[in-house]
Amino acid sequence: MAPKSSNFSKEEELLLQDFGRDLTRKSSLIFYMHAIFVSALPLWLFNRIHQMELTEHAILFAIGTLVSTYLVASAYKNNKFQLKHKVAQKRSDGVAAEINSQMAENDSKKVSKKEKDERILWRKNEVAEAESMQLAVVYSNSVFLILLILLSFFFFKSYSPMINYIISMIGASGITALLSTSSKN
Amino acid sequence: MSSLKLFLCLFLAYCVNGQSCIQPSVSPSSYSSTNQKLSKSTAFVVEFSLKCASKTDNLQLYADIDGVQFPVTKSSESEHYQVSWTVKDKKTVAHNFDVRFFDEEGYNNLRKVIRSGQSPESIKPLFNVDFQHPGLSSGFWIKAEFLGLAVAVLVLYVVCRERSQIIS
Repeated sequence: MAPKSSNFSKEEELLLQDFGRDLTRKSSLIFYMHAIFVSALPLWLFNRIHQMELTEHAILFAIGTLVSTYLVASAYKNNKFQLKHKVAQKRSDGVAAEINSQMAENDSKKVSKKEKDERILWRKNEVAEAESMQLAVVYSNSVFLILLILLSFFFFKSYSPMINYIISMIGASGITALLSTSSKN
Repeated sequence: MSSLKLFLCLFLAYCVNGQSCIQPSVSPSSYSSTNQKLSKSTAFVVEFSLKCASKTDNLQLYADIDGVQFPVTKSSESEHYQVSWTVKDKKTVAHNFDVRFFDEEGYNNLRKVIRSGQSPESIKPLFNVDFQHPGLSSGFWIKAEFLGLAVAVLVLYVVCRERSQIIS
């Protein structure tokens, strides 16, 4: 099997990496931090409203939070992937104008067109990365929390708190992850 | 024989004095449930500590609340007394309760007066405790989960609008 790099130049590989599904270590860390926070939030509801003791159900809460963290983080990842292309397209002109004006201020004659294009591409990637991450996190969190409130306080409110927690957490994070895989956007 | 009568008189006087409270000093506290949704009846509790100038080891007290009598329970360890009762929610409105307390003698007199159809107000209580029941409230008019859901839906709507602007 031929190595992957044989078909693409180094620039193309970098571009693919930037706009691919794979996340950088920093992005993964940010996503998992957000995911664990939003997955741990329902503990307060189940502790204070559904009267579940934290120490008594520590193992269940830990497993529920971890599973939900993984699913919510994968929802972030999918949403970010979908959004990044679109954000890059939307912000393309703005970013180009910004870089051009910066170049005009500096000594632009020394900079080749290729380098200028590279700078625009790099800046576009940076802007698209940040914006798509923010939007993916807010969108997935909103979907997850709405589903959680619906499941735990409306659909399964008459169930025992333990069953309610399991169904609500897995259900809400699972549906959030499932919705993020939709390709019809 | 006369010495025996004297002894009996003194003994009776001792017994009577032992079960009545002279110069009562009361420090009361009271509670009434106010949440209409949590129960069908409203609970009232009046607690007080009682100090008497006389010895009151076997003091039995009764409370008269709006013409209904209840026995008062006493803590076995201290001079703390408590009386509690419930009223159906529909009958409970905000009003000032005047809880009248009687010792056994006063309670017997009260029963006699009630049996004979006279006003129970004519019997002077040992002491009374006033407390204000603020009435029932049904809490916030919208349920907390609906409010939480509404806020979450609003946030999702804003985010979806933003997202669709980018995706379109």
